[in-house]
Amino acid sequence: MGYMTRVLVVDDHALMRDMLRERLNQEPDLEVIGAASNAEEAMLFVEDLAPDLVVLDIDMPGLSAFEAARQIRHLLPDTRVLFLSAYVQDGYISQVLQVRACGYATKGNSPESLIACIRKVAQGGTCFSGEIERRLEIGVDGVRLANALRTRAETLTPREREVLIHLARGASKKVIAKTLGVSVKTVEQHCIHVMQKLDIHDRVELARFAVREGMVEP
Amino acid sequence: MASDRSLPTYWFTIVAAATFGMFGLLGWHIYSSHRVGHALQAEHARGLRLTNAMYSQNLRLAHLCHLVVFDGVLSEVEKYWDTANQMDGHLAEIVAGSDRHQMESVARARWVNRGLRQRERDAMRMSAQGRQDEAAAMLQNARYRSLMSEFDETVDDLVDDLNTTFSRRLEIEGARDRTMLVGAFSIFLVAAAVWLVLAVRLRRWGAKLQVEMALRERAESQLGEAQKMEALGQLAAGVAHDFNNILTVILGFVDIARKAVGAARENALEKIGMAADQGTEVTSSLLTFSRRSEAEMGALELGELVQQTQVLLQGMLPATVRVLLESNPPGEEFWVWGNRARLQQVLVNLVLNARDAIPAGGDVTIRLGRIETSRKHGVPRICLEVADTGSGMAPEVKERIFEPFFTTKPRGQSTGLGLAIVAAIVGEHRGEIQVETEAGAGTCFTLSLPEFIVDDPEAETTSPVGSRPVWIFSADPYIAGFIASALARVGCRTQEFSLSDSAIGSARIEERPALVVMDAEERQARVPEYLRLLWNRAQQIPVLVLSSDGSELGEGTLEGPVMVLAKPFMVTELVALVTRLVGSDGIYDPGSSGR
Repeated sequence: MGYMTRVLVVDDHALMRDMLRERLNQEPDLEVIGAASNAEEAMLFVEDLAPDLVVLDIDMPGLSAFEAARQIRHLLPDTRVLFLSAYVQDGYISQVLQVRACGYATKGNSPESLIACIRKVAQGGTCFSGEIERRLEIGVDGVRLANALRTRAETLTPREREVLIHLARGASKKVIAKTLGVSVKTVEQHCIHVMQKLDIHDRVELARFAVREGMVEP
Repeated sequence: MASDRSLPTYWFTIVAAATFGMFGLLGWHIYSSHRVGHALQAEHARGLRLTNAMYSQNLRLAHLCHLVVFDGVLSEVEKYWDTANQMDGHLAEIVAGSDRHQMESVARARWVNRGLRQRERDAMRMSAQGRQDEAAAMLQNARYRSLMSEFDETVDDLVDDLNTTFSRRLEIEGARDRTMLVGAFSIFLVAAAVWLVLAVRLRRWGAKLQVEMALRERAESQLGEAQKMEALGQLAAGVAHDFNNILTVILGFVDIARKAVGAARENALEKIGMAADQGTEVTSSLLTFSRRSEAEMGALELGELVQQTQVLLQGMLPATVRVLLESNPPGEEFWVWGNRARLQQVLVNLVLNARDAIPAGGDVTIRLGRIETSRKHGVPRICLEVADTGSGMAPEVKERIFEPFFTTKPRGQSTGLGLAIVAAIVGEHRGEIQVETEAGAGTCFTLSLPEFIVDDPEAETTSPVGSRPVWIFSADPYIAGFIASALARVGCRTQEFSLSDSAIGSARIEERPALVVMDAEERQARVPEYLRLLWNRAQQIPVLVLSSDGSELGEGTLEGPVMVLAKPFMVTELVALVTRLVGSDGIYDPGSSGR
């Protein structure tokens, strides 16, 4: 028997999570070693089990999937991350590339195509659909969303983006500070930068912007 | 309030009249002052000339008389009479030009002149009669002398009168000038006041207009969204219907599966899978439609979009309406650069429009093709036609169909925005829209969009590109992996290496690569070195360098097949270039490259 790729499945949708676990376990070369319902829980699994590959749903409550991916890369550079989402959105594509994830698969496709994608990533490749690849360019700073498609949202740093997502979801600065493990003052600084960069100075408008850019679901 | 919304023309008339009046009055005044001033000066100068002449002629007459009387020069008599006549002429001229204030001095001058000339004539007559002493006494007596000095005084008075008259008339003119200036200034004040009022009103109107425009823009965008929601509402009904069917099928087969065994159970599960697939098809179509990402433009294949939209449309159309898809040539792909949701909205709006044109049923044909002959800006265009077999439109309706809020449907049944939005979206995509219609012969909307040229964009399952591998060198393993995956999708075999001397030195050369892709970022200066090292190991291996600066690879510096792809470039561009360079037989062919 060859090497089994040890997979961690992270999705807040219980049925989806169970289905993925069942389905992936049926494959001879894949083994689901854990299933988490949010990014915080996923980080605990990652620390304990050191999976080869993490299938990470993008839109989940709590810690953002992108922040989790960043932490995973820092913690276990050899663990590969494959994002999974119901939507293909420019905002997501940008962030997936920013955290240098190995792929971005969509939920609408058949389980077979997801398995093929997981295999490809497990073998050291990347998995981006043709639809996404056509939106990308290679520039001085690596692979990125084509210039013409980039929006103001892409000017935000990952941390600022994180803060914006929490703000859009209605979290207070105190709660955000607690979630991110930083001081309230730091969060306030991030808020100021976000508002300056986006030229939006109203919390409601910020939330609308985040929804429009696909950072949070309406 | 009507006056607040439009600028009344009478305000402009008042302002224009006041301004013209002021300038007219001032102009006329300048002209008339100039004319009167000239006349006065000329008259004064003439008066002075006449009085001067009278002085000198009086002295000349006395002198001539003395010559005749005392020196006996009789020949001067004739000159005397001429001069006396001239003197009379001057006096007559002065009389003609004088006003009532001068009349007294003029009458005195005439009287003194008459007295003097009478005495001189008497003296000359006595002298001619030989009465020399009497004649001399006549000219030397006190009366004659007093008359002479009286004449001078009279002429002085005349000059004084002339000056006084001149000053008086100048004063009168000055007063007129002042009156004129006051009038003009009053008119100027009126004009300025009206301008001020007008400026204030214009400012107020401008501000109101801006507010109204902003409101209208917002309302238009809300209406645009509302129109989409209206279409979405219609879609929702169809989707709910489809979903109910699908869910009924799933629940039914779940029930069967629970009870059945063996092949029957397998069959039921398969049916459940099929029903779920149908559901996925419906939701994916719906998702693309409802997405609100304005900036999302990308390469998309219209044929696929049309097919996806047809799934949605089926739920919205009565059974009597058939949607037919045609593509010319059949099986061809039609790529454009656009926003999937927006173009789908165009299609839905056009088909719903066609549906409304055929209440009794009929065919709606969606036709895709390429316009090869008429090339605009050198780019071939994709044309998408939506034709119905309905009643067509009257010319006056056809002219207005793209206007916002124009509708032929009863009030409340349509926003009248459908086709306006179609036109706006087509414009956003640098496209054009035309409509052909004839009463009774149906309507055909023709969209033309610039074709997006991609080389083999969906060649994921095509035959392998080249039999030999493509080597990818990059200092960044993520980029190397990414490029490898992208090339693998078009059937390239790839091998990834780190960009370093040791990696180049140790690459297994047994299987000679078809092409080497070298991502030179950060190590651009060393590229010539790397290339030499590579060519030492395998001569004339073609290399594609990805770099933001190709200056190190200037002409003549290297002897080997090398090409630079300047960053940034689209991933599709790189894939197309590599595919072309490598060719299907795995042989590098520089002649086939576009760059």
